[in-house]
Amino acid sequence: MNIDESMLDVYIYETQQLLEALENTLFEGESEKALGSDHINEIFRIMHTIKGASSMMEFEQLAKLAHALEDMFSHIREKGVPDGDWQGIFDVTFSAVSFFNGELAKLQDKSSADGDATDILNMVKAQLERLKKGSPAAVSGESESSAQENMEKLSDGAYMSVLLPGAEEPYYKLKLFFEEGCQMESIRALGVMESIKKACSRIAYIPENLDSDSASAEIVKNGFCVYLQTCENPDVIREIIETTLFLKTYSILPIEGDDEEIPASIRRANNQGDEARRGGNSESGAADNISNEFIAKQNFISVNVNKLDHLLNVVGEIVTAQSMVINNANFGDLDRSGFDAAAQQLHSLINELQDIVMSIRMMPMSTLFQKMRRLVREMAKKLGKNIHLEISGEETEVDKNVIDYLSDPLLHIIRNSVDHGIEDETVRAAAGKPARGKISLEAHTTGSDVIVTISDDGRGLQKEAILKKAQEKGLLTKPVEEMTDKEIFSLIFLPGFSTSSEVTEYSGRGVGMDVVRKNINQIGGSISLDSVEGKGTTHTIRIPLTLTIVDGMRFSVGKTSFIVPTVSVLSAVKPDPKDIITDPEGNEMIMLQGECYSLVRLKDFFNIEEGVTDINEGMCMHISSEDRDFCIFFDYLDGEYQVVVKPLPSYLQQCTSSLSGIGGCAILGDGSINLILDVNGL
Amino acid sequence: MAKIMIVDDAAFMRITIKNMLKKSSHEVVGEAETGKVAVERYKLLNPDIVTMDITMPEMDGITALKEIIKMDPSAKVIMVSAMGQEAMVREAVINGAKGFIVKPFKEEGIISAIDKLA
Repeated sequence: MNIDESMLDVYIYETQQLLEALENTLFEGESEKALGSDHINEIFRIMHTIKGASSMMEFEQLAKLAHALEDMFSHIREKGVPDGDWQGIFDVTFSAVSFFNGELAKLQDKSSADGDATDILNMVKAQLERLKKGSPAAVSGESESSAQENMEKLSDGAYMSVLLPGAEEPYYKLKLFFEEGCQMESIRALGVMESIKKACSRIAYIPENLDSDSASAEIVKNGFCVYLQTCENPDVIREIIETTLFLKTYSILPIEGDDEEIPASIRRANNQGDEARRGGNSESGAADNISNEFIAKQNFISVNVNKLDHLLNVVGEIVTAQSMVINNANFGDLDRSGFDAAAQQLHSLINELQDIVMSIRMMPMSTLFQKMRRLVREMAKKLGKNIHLEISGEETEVDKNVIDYLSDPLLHIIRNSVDHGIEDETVRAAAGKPARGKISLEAHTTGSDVIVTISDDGRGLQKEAILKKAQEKGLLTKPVEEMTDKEIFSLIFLPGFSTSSEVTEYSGRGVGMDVVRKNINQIGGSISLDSVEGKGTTHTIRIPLTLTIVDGMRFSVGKTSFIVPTVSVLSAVKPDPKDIITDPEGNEMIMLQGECYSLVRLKDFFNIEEGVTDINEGMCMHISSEDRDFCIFFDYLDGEYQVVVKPLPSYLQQCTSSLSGIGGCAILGDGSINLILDVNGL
Repeated sequence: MAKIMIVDDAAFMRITIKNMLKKSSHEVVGEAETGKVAVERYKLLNPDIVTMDITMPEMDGITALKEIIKMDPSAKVIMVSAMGQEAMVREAVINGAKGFIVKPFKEEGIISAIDKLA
């Protein structure tokens, strides 16, 4: 391949951006049932750019598809959609976008874009055919013939200079060949004519009509032949010719004025040149107007996320180093008043730096929400439902990692809402609801959290069905009468609840919601659910803005310091030996507020040599992990810290089997390395 | 050695051309993502050669070419076009583009084109 592999990332990124913009335009157009001329232009331009980039990357199928769409929108731009049937155009374009996205995803996974675009290509071509047929024949015929006329005018007159009467200048024959595969030879020939005509008094060429379709082929085969008359030294012509790009060979030979070879046209005076050129200019003026309407959208540069991760790490190190320098400065008797002021300034600058780095990693949710829009559209179409997705707060920014983690849960919830939440039109009508179902997706920030709510106006959850199912599965922990609605609904998040289709028949939900919760918990978030039967369901997801800065409790076992994320900590207690129970297998349990939890001694879990063993001397923390609550036992609690999470060094990650329970590490201001506890691994 | 300015709305194309030119003796002194920016930067950077995309937002390559030629009739502008843009390229050539290169092109193609004009 001609192109650096690293270009692939840029290609993927940029093409995705373009597709996203395209999709936005399509959605907008679809809701208005038509596309405005600026939108058509924009789509045309996007397809054009994708075509160029794809062909450079040698992704033939993608380039072909982009080309076909470009043709289609070019046609629409000129002739409009005669039968007003935009839906077919939207559908085929949406399918093409899906195809592009699929291929890009493959490329992103380091596999090859091997998808076959033939089907979709045929669909695009069929649409174009339909458009062409639909155009009123008279109109298209007329405009075509007028274009033809224009071209003839141009080719006939533009390059003939007026011969001054009586001038007897020598004739030359110029023959040139272009490099193979340089394409558009006829226009290259035109360029040659443009550049030498100033030096010539008369000029003619073969092939005569450079605008004909066969001109390029003819030039490739026979070369481009120019007969010219000039008073200039042929070296002047030579100099000009030599600047022609992609010129393979050329020859320039003097010939006699009465040579029969010289075309008759060269002797004909012609004044139409200027006029024709003016015509050409006004044409281009129209084109300018169109392109001026393009909206500039690129205000961003793309940065590799790995670089940002690295930057964040380095800034973390700087924060640490700074506090080590400031806290350990040993000045003896020296005057350190200047130092303190400088240190203070350094501190505030570094804080600012940290904020900026964090903000760079923030991305708006719009990309993610866009994906949902696509999903709703596709599913609704497939299921024959009429659903409107209302999106708000898509400009809310969260850390890039958070977006990655949030994607699957959102997909899942929305899929459920479309599939099972929103009823068919007839059912809705019977229930007195508007025919068009509504799902709203909303995001906003509160402090250090982002709240994402997904609500639908569908049939809602059926409490009885959930309870019945939970009873069958033996998941109920307390009497049904004592359970609040919220408790009942949260049953569907339980791992054993159900993944079978039975529940979907009753309530329409419960499919894999435990996975959703797991994913969200993984990033320190939580999900809750509210529903009114017959009215709809609302999911509320709360997630931290960023995954890299975590509030944690610091504690020690022997000389090792640990951090446990505060979200996982329910309480910390000084244990009483009386509360410790040992079961026959030797597993320790602890009674807390009347409940019994298993006790994990971190000293034993991590095989740490030092550390207290006596229950009286240590402390306990009540931890909530995604599937169970338990207690950990350690030496002493140190306090609460905000830490920058760093991944474990790669040489440690290689032996992950022995590292379950450790999620990363953090360096604190005192220079100490702290291991971050992964509570799900204990 | 010539000073080159690359004009293209797609970062992908700009980087590609830039990478290709790294292997030549020429120096990329600037880039522009729209025709409008290109015209402004041309005044500022006064590059020897410009590679100009045709389809761009805000101001297309043809208009930018005309503007640049108006300011500097000796400007050397190479159009970067794709198949299917014959009419546009034709107009560019008539309006003073020194030549054009058709996507997809190879490293040798663009380097030899620039060598020739430099």
